[in-house]
Amino acid sequence: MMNSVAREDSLVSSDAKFVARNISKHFDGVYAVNGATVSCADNEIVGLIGPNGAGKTTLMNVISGVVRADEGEICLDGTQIEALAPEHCARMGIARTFQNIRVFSKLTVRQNIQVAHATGLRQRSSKRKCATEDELIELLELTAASDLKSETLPYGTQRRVEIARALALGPRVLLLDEPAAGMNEQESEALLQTIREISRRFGFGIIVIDHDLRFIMNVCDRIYVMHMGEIIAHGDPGSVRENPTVREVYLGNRHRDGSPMA
Amino acid sequence: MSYLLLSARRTVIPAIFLILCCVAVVLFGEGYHVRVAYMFFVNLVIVAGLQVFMGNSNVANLGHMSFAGIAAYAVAVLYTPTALKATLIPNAPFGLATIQLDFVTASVIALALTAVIGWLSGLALCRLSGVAATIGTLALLVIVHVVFVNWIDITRGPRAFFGIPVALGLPWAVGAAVLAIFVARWFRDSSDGLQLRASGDNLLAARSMGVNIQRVRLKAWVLSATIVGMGGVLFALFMGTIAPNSFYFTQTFLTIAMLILGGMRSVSGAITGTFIVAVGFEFVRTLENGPEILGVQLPTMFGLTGFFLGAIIVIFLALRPDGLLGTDEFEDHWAAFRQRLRARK
Ligand SMILES: Nc1ncnc2c1ncn2[C@@H]1O[C@H](COP(=O)(O)OP(=O)(O)OP(=O)(O)O)[C@@H](O)[C@H]1O
Ligand SMILES: [Mg+2]
Repeated sequence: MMNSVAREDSLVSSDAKFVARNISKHFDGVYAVNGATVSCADNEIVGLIGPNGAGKTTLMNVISGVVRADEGEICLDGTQIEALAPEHCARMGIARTFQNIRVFSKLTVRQNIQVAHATGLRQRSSKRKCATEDELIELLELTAASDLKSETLPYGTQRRVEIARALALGPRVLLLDEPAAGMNEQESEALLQTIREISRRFGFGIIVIDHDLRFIMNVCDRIYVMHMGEIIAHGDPGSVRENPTVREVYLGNRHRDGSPMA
Repeated sequence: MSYLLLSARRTVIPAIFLILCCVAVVLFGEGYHVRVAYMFFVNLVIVAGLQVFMGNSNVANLGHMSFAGIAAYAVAVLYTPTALKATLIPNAPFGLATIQLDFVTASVIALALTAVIGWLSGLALCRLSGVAATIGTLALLVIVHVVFVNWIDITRGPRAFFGIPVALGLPWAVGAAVLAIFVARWFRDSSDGLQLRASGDNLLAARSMGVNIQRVRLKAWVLSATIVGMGGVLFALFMGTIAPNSFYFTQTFLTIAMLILGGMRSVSGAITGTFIVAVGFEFVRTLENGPEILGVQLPTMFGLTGFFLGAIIVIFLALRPDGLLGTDEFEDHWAAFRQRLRARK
């Protein structure tokens, strides 16, 4: 088993608004996530990369309440979140998108946003500001598609619908699971600008998972590298790019993709 | 409440159609036609009620007829004259044999009772999803049926409860059907209806968007039970006779076939399906009795109607699971049609 390179305290920045500490989750004795810690400050865009099966999505599932962790704690604004179900996490302000797209396929783009708006409005305190339907549609460049059923849209557009929908919750932290997957060069370039714009406009922290290293290196302030359920490296894009362990994992171990052994 | 008005406006066209049907039957029909038309409206109320829960939540429901039964028995017990009840149900508990209400009060109490029982059963059922939920609703149907059969003091058990004075006619049935359609549209368009539809579309995504699944399901379940209960009241106050089997598998499958054929995801689908199956059912029932067509005497074919309903359910589930109208309402189809016309020009 590979040892964590970085110690836990160095993984959490001092101004972190959101912290997931020492998260572990195993499936049938196989650790998908093994003591991973990630954090995110306001206005920060954090990347989470790693080979297939590294446990990135599982970590995100734990954070958003979709999967229950075996161990670990999640703190938002200094308070520990006891909520264990996805709807509680959403109402606490943790919004997410899905790697395998999960738009409401029979609803229009606008209705997709309305669903999240309706539940967000119930909970939103006055300090959590939230964009209106039309602002979100414009921000994610969905104007032409706004009254079309989501299932009729191309994948790239559906991913943007998921982002708009997540923003409609008025979140305090946003998790994006491979938002650029299935997008062409121009689309992913546009998405990159959009993510920056979201960060600038709303000011909450964003955690992005993606396999496109160029995309991640361009958009992120800080990057975590995950391998076999553990965070094996972390730092700014430059230092991660030069990190020998990361290079080994990405180049040397390509053929060993898949389930990590506990 | 602008969408209340919108739902009202969207109900106008089906309402006009239904009222025209009613007027035609009243003007040109005989007693038999009135009966068939009345049952059509009863079924329409029940199917619209079924759509409210099943169509929006995408959870199959086999228990809805139990609410029609509860409301029907309740109104029967409250409205039947005490003189008759003295021989029908002399041992009725809570002094029910000695009270007699007017039919409006009796109906309101019957619906309130149905809503309460709907709420109680919903507390348990709305926690379940998928197959477990469907089996749970089936269990509800069987439980309520067993109560009807065995609580002889109040229901007369398998012997029919007869002698309920006939209080309603076609205009009432049309009014109830229009009301049911309006309420179903209003719920579907409402914020809770939208959240429920989202959960029916993708349960996990809906939860991750903060939808409280149990709350929206329970709301739809109680509303659905109450509307279906209205169908039961209509039935009892026109037929004058009810029995446990009036609210069991045959009716369950008839109404489910109606909803599936039209498309359960829209109220328009519920209306369309009810109409087509009702017409088809009458036709098949004629065949069942072995009529003479063009001089050829057909044999009687018992069970043909059951076969017909089963075939509709299987064929549509296999070939067109979204039903004839898919997920869209009439006005959505109309808008799409106009768009296609414009595109062709
Ligand atoms: N529900 C589950 N049941 C069993 N094993 C699971 C489950 N979910 C994930 N796993 C396993 O956990 C490991 C981590 O999977 P995860 O999806 O988190 O990886 P990932 O880093 O997101 O990979 P990818 O880049 O391919 O999306 C994998 O070996 C996977 O097979
Ligand atoms: Mg993944």
